[in-house]
Amino acid sequence: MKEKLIQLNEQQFFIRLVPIVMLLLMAIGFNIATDGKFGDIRNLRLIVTQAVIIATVATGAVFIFGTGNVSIALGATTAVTAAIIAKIYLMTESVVIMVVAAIVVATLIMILTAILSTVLKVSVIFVSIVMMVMFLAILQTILGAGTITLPYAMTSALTNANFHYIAFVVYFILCAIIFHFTGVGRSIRFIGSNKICAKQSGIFLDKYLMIAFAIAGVGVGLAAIMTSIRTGTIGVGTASSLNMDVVLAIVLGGMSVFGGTRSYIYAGALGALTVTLLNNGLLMVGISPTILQLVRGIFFLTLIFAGQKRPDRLPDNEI
Amino acid sequence: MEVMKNVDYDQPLIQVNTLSKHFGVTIALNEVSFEVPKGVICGLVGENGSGKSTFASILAGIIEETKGEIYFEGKLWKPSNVLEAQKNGVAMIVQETGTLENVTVAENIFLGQEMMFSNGIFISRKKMFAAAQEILDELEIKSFKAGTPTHRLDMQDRKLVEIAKAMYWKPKVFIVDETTTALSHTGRELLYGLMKKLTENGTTVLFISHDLEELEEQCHIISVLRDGDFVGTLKRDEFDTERLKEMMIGRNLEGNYYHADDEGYSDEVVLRAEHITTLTDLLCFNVELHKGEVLGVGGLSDCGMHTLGKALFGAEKVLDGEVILGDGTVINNTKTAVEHKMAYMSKDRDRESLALNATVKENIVSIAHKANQVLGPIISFKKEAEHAQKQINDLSIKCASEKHLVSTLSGGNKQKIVFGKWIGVDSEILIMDCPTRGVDIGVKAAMYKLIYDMKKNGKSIVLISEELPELIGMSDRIIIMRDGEISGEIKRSEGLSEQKLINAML
Repeated sequence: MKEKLIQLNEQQFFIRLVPIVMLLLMAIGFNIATDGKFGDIRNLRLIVTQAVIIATVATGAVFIFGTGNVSIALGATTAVTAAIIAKIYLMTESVVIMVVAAIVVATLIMILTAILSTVLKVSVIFVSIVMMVMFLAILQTILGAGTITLPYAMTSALTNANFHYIAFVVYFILCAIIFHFTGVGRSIRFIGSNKICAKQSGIFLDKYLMIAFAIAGVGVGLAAIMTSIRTGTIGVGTASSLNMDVVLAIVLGGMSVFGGTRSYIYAGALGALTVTLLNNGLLMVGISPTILQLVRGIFFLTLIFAGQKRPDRLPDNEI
Repeated sequence: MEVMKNVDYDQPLIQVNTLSKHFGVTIALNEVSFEVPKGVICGLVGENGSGKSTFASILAGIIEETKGEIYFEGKLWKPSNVLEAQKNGVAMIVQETGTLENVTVAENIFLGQEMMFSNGIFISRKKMFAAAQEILDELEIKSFKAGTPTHRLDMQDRKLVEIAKAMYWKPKVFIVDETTTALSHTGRELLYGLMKKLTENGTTVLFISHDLEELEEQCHIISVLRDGDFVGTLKRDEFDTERLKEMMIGRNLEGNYYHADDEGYSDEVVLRAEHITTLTDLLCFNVELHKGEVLGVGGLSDCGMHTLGKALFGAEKVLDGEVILGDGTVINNTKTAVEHKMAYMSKDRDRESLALNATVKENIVSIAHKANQVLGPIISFKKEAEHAQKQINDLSIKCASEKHLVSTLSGGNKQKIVFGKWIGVDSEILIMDCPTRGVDIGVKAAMYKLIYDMKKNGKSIVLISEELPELIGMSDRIIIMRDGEISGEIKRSEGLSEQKLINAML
């Protein structure tokens, strides 16, 4: 029995349970603290609706994180894509063109980030810092001093047709298949574990980085549509906290920011639910938005610290 | 068999009392008790996974024991970290690299001790460099200076930095863990001389090596561990290679594990390098590999043979010339190489050939995606598990399960995983760079058999090795390299001597 438990521990079984336990404990705690208001069906529905945008971006971002890279331009990419597709919709009044444009624009922007990183041999995080600043400037140029408003008829029709949920579920299933059941996912995770070994195993690092960004780009495109139809208005503040939410979601979902073979596609979705639940719950118990950011920060750093733990092993790797 | 359980000296320097160490389900040391006297070179041998490095790591303060205790100079020894152990007289140089890349040699030597050279709030680099240079001069290390950036040094020189670092502390116990495999002849001589000098001054050297000949030459006593248990200690006048092997393995091992017969190889050229030039080492280099041939490549460690292995596999940029397969395919990247059933095993196994934080299965199947597909690109978990399990069984990889993390396995088992990864996809051309580095004689014998079986099955092998007996024993043809060029080519023949190869090297 003891040996079995040790084996499960070695396979990180218990670590994988932590995010689920954490989510449940939070939910129970907030429900008690708010005298059951937190568990109200309307509130839970609100949490899920809010979480689905983060979950969509985070699910794609798992591919990028899996390679051991971190991008902080996901929120800015979502915002600039939302602004572009809003303009396109207002010109064409076609939902189909808007959806296709969202996916194409976001994917191209993401691939551009990957190309700059691979061609210039600059780490993804540094390229994404530049891209984030640039996209925010582009967003301001597109919007000028105002905002873009989409017709209520279109946004409500898509909302009522459950576009959010259908798009997320289809995207999540496809991502899960690619990440866990194909050579692409395996290769991406292997790159995150050891880049040199991956290269010497015939895995093209640049190619898989492009693929990871392209897949994440599809998620960003879908999230841009969800963001547009949820608020109906695109402004400079659109998706401003999305990037932090996504990174926090991935970490809260139980994935290491260092990527590698211990990466799981569900981390993004599970974490997105936890982040939204945390935001919602803390606000409901009366925590001020400033303290909320502090709590999120503490959570993030604690989990990054925990994620750095490596197995007890010898420096020369020999028993 | 009569084996002395403890060496007969008045006062042992180190006393080990029922010492145990567990790594998860793996028992690395199982209630081991023995003693090591003062002022001797004590060899520590055992198969991979026998517990040698674990014991050394506990003694050096790198890891903590699970239970039991060590007494050092009669007092309970429980250092909380490496620095504390070093300050109190136990220094260790480890099997894999223990230096930082982005700092100078001097900064590596005085890592964590920079305040010794402080001028108020500033560190005097001048003083630090002078002190480091003094140590290097004392050790007669001339191939680099105290101010040399460490990333410019090769594996051998980095080992010398570690030795210099250990020497600063004037240790009472100096642990050398599988270091000589990374050293050339000159480096080894330097280390042997140092070990002798240290013992004359009363220091005890704990010398871990898989090279029994080396141990028998250098040690005063040899202690043997097997599967985490202490087997016994032999004094110098009792040294006998066969007896040591039997103590290590617990059974008789055939004296000659190289292949004796000369079956030759086909005339068909499967891989050739045509006038290849690389950024470092190789200049207009030509070589041919035939079907069913084991081509040995030897030379001093900086002769370019390691670069050749990478260049043949497409892992090193070829600036001029081409590496071409028998069918005319040009190998200019690793992807093309793998797609054409080529395999490469790096000398730097932990850094380049394995993902240490991944499982045994994840490493073995990392290049076998196509082989395990069931429906288009969809991979079957079941097929993958069977694929990994087959290699675990065929190669007798010692692990709790396919989900065992590679980082916790011994060197020999890790190397078996590398073999399994390439054998599993039926590689036809295998480039092996020092495949038996740091593995014990039992695993070595198994690997030689494997290489010979592959040769018999028509596989072509480039065997890059720093061990001359291995080259002579395994190769159909040997090329010796010097300064990036072929300085000699020798065919397999009766009575081929190491001297002939050494003459070509120097």
